[in-house]
Amino acid sequence: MKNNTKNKMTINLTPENPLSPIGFGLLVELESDVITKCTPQLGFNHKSLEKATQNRLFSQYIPMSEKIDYLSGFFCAQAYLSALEQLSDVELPKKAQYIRVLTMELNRISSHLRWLAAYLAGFGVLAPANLAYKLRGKILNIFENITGGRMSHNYYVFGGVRSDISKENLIEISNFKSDFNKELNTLENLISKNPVIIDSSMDIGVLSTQYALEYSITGVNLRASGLNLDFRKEKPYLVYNELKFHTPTAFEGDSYSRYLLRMEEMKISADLVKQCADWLLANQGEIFNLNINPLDVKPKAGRAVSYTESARGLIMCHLVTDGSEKPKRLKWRTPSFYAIQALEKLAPGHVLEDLTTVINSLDIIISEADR
Amino acid sequence: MKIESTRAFKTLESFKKSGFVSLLSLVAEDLSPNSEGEDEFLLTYTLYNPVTRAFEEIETLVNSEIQSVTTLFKSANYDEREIYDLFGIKFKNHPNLKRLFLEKNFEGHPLRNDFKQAETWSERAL
Amino acid sequence: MINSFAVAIIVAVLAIYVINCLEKFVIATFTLNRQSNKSLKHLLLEPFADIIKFFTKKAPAQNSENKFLFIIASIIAICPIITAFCLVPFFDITANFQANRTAYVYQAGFTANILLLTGLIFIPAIGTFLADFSDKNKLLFIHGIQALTQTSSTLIPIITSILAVSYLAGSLNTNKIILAQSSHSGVFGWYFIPLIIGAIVFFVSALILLNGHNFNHLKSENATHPCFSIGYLGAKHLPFKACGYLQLFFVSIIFVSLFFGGYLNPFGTYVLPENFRHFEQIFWLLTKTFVAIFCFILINTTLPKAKCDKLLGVLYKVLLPLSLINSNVAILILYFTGN
Repeated sequence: MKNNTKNKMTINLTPENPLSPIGFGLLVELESDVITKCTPQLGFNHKSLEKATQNRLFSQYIPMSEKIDYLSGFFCAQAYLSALEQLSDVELPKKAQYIRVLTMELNRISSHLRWLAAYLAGFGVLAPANLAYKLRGKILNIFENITGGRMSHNYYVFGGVRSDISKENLIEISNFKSDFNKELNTLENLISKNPVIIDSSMDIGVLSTQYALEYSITGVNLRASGLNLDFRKEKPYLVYNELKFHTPTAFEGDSYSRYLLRMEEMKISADLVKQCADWLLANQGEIFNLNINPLDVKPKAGRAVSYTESARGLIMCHLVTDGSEKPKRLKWRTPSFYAIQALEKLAPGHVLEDLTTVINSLDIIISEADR
Repeated sequence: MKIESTRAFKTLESFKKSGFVSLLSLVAEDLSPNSEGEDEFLLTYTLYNPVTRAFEEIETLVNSEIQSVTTLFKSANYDEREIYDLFGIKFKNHPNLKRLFLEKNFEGHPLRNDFKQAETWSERAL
Repeated sequence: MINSFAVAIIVAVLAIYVINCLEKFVIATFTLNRQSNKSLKHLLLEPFADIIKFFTKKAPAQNSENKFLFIIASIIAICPIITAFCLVPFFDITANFQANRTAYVYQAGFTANILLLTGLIFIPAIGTFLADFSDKNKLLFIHGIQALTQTSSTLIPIITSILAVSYLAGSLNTNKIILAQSSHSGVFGWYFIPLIIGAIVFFVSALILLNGHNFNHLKSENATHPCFSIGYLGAKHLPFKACGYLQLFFVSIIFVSLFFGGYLNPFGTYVLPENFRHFEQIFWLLTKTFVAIFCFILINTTLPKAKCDKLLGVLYKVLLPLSLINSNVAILILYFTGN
């Protein structure tokens, strides 16, 4: 194409624009409808959650840690408490570990359903998005019966969980899998073979394994490119080495395979939920470690790192203590931070219409990236 | 493993050549004031090798400047910008060392030990 | 003249109200959204609440790049299409010339009034393009160009199918086209049987034409309140919303008059006596129109929006050759029936 210089345009998408992605800005340089350069602008949601640790007790920080990623509150609380429990050499009772795994897998399903509704709304289909929200409502009702809150729970304490799950709730949870699979099948029949959606998402946003490792991307985005890395099996924590599950992988690395992979993950999580609920119905135990006081936490001085596989990728929590009752330094390594960085590589070469598809398929939550 | 800040770049390069392709996280911590009364920060690099499934943690002590590793690991771009924003450590040869989270004309680096928080809103430098 | 324009405005407002309620009902039922059809009272009274809200709310000051285009875009979008109500063949006006003289002037006075009707449908596309052109946001400008290419490219298959119908009917006048479809066999004399390809081409092009106003932007979470032009805040975006509904109405009227007999009775003979024939014709036309509107809204809300280059590919590579084949079919029919 000759005379390229006449068709160049720069668009500044700030977050208050209703047409831009939620929470972060984009500076896009176009050359007649094809993107040539894309720089994200972060910092609109910076809540300084890392500085806030320096003035709070360890047990006061647990509800704040859930706000790192509001869609996966259980994962972030588990990451923080795992680092704390490593420093204090505290053992969790078996029942508490199973309850934690149960709530975390339910949280994974609800986070993926929320992603699905946002992804489909980008295409313009509304009925499947409403179906996904309806299913998510059922899970949030289960959470309300267990913990008292739908999205912010404050349920984990240092050494276990706060309260027990009653027998009726457990029976309801163990019946959850069959209904869920049926409804997920109707969703899949509506969408997975739809030629318009396949056309709009196949070969869009292709991420190869080499780039994914260089940009330090983990979770579903990496597994869709071909590398089978799941931190539930790499560095097993809680009772994951006793439960039976497999991690699927895809090999193309485009948006369509990420979509298919998340649907598969939801089914696997539903199976894990059933295994945990069956174990809890059959066994008894303590809910938290009776030898410690969860409100009076004074771990020894040192450093600890915890690895947690959340819905979006790997969450690492680095904790530095100095023997007092307040932490010295707490650093969160969140997956969306690196996914936004990968946009600089993924977006160029696509038509402007495909930009929402690429951004939505990476599952970016801005609250995680900015902390 | 602990190394000196001047040899950090070469060590990371040799690690990358032997297969540690991915830099999972880069953490900074403020240890000042140290025994000589200067600023001191502790940087921790966490590397991962997908072939041998091995993790490696490398620690360095930094005073104020260190060589950037953006040419080796692309994910270090935003990591180092965040550390510059919150701690004030400068990275040499970084392609775009600007503040990431805070405003352009913010004065000070919040996570340092000697950062004074303003008492009232009007005192805060905007 | 003034009387007929006032009547046209009243009929336009009524049509917009009815189509708005119908669209909300269809979308709410088929996208499993419980909010909009909680009860009949909510559904029917909600547009009034919206109008009161839009006219009493204080909108912030507009800051557009080009103030002249900003004002004139909304005028272009709504005013020409309201006058199209005078051209619609609600009933057979040639039957009683003395009583229907004014209507005769507007309808039969323009011999090629179906082309005028089609032209009036496409004028709002220029209005929306100017609205996007006058904004400071460059993203809207790109969307405006895309929307304009999309809607103006649907003109070609539509015009070719209209021409094919006019070969069979012998005239471009809507009234004469409808009367040419009347026969004793009722349904089987309508043009959708010999020109089935033309009907399909027209239907698909109309879907592409009407799809734009809901989804021509990156994020569309609520199709009942499309926000395709964010530069117009408050009551100023109402002309664009109204013109979308009126486009839907007129396209379905053209579709029904060309291929499905317009105001004709499917049984072939009229049921009511001579004096009430007008009412029966209006009734049949409106029934068929609303069935067509229902089909358009249903398909537009359930299917996702295809990408712009695929839509243009379908228009130019599939629908245009099919409409030319359709014209050949029409000419062959004329040849074999000895006209």
